[in-house]
Amino acid sequence: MPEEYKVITKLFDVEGLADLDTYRAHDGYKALEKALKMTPDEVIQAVQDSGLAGRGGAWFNTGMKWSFMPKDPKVPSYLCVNCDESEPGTFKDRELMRRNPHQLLEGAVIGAYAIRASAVYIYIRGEMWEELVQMERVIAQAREAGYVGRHILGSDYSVEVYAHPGAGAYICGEETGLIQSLEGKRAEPRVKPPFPAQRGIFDCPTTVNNVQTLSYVPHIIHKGTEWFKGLGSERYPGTFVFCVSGHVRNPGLFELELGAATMREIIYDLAGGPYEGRALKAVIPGGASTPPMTPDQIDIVMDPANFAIPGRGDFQGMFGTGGMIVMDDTTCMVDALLNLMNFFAHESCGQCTPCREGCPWARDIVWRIEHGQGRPEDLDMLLEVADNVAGFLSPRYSTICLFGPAFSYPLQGFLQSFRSEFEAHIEQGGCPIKQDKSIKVPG
Amino acid sequence: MGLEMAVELSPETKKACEEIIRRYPEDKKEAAILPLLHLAQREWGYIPLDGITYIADMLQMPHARAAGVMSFYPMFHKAPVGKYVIYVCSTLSCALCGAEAVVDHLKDKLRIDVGETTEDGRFTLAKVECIAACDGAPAILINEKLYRHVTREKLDEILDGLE
Repeated sequence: MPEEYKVITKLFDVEGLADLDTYRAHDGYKALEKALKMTPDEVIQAVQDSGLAGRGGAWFNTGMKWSFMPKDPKVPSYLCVNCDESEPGTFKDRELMRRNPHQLLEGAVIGAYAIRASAVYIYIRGEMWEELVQMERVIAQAREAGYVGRHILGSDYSVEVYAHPGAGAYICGEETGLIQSLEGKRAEPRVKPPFPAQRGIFDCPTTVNNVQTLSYVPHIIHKGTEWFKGLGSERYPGTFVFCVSGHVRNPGLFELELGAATMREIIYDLAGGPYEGRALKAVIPGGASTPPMTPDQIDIVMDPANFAIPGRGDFQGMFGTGGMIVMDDTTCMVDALLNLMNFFAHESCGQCTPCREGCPWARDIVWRIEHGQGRPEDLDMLLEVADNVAGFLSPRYSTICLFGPAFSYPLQGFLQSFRSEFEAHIEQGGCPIKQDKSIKVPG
Repeated sequence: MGLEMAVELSPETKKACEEIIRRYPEDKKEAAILPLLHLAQREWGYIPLDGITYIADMLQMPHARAAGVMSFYPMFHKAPVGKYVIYVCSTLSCALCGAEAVVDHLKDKLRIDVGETTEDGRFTLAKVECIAACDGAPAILINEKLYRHVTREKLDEILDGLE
């Protein structure tokens, strides 16, 4: 049985942690005090040396990303916290904000100091209104106590922190889409370069960091670079918060060292495995954009380095957000793909033709197959549509942002791993699976 | 439309709007459009056409651009909705745990279809994409409040408990 190693979720069950005094009683804001005694570059170096990599899915070294910001800014510069968590199967940011909001705020202020930001915007998806209201309260408490605002803890550094609500668009989780949205525009992603560190919010240098990434920062500063480096795998140090949902007995969040457990152990030992009498059929490993895996593939050790993306590892799949969606043998894979394609067709921002047109077309073809109107040539047509948007797990794609690959990869992945089930639908003129669509809750 | 409209925000909301506008650079007021539309929708229940121009004027931005921005974001209602909007998450994790049955139960109970409002104006039923509460599947939002692991019995209890 794999052991959880809790860093950022350790205090989740502490009563009243959203209150400043409780957070301080658990060493809260000690890291900020320590960071302010270091130079900004020393903070960047410490985080860079720790090996912390962006938990949003890109796995780029966080300290290095910070180092791209101007050292002697002539114009305002910004830190933007990406709390627009919308990737289906992923729900850790909501809980990190809900259950330890000061940890995120402390990480954000330390990050802002390191990159010499003049303001921090915490972009919270509109559906998380309760978390937004709490975050406003947390910021106000921190301001009162001198952790935010003018001359933080008597230092020369001043920074304002604001919460900013989104309004229901998935694409705002893409960093340039988020920047557009924050500027009060339609969240249509921008062409890179220029990168946000050159031109971000209001055309000023900007760093966008993920909630989980920033939540680690106070711990790295407080306990030290070596401590963090000693956790996890060599290439990807630290812990990671896995989300497990779908057909399992004990869905939830599980924080483990990277590389400490296999996917099977996480699903069976921690998340309780499939319901009584059911067998595992497929797992979406890291959010809706990642190709599904089959039961014979789940003995893979959960380290990003083992996956083709991001680690260029042997396994031809994606690590993604760590948001696993588990499906048992009552699931129809055509219907599951249809669900995801409905999602993508709804969320495409409409800017690039291959995505705007490709998503609904693909969705309609999958709908047709599930509802008994599939034609034998449909499968190759789907693959052609998908390939025109993005080659499977390849760097070739025809859209401005990664939304194109994000719907194309799972489309190709479902067809690759479950082609015979799609063919059976077409041959039999309908869905051959006895699906269980009843309401299922744990316990 | 075309008539003298009475859209107006309460002094408290206006004050809150002004405080929010100050969070962004002086010449970038339009950055405040999403938070202001949220505040306005809380007061008006939806955003009427004249409401968009009202907010656009507060932010000194062109009306058409404000309308274009608003139409991008699904959370803003262009027409009146019920006092309680029930958003049922329909994306995969919730779908696997019975989201369709949740919708069916609500349709039966409220005698409306998805996208409709009950005659007494109390409830609107909506299906939405992933609300990031997948371990709480099936999950719903009623206005801003999240409910996890809803069952038929729990839904009845929740709805009966609303004012």
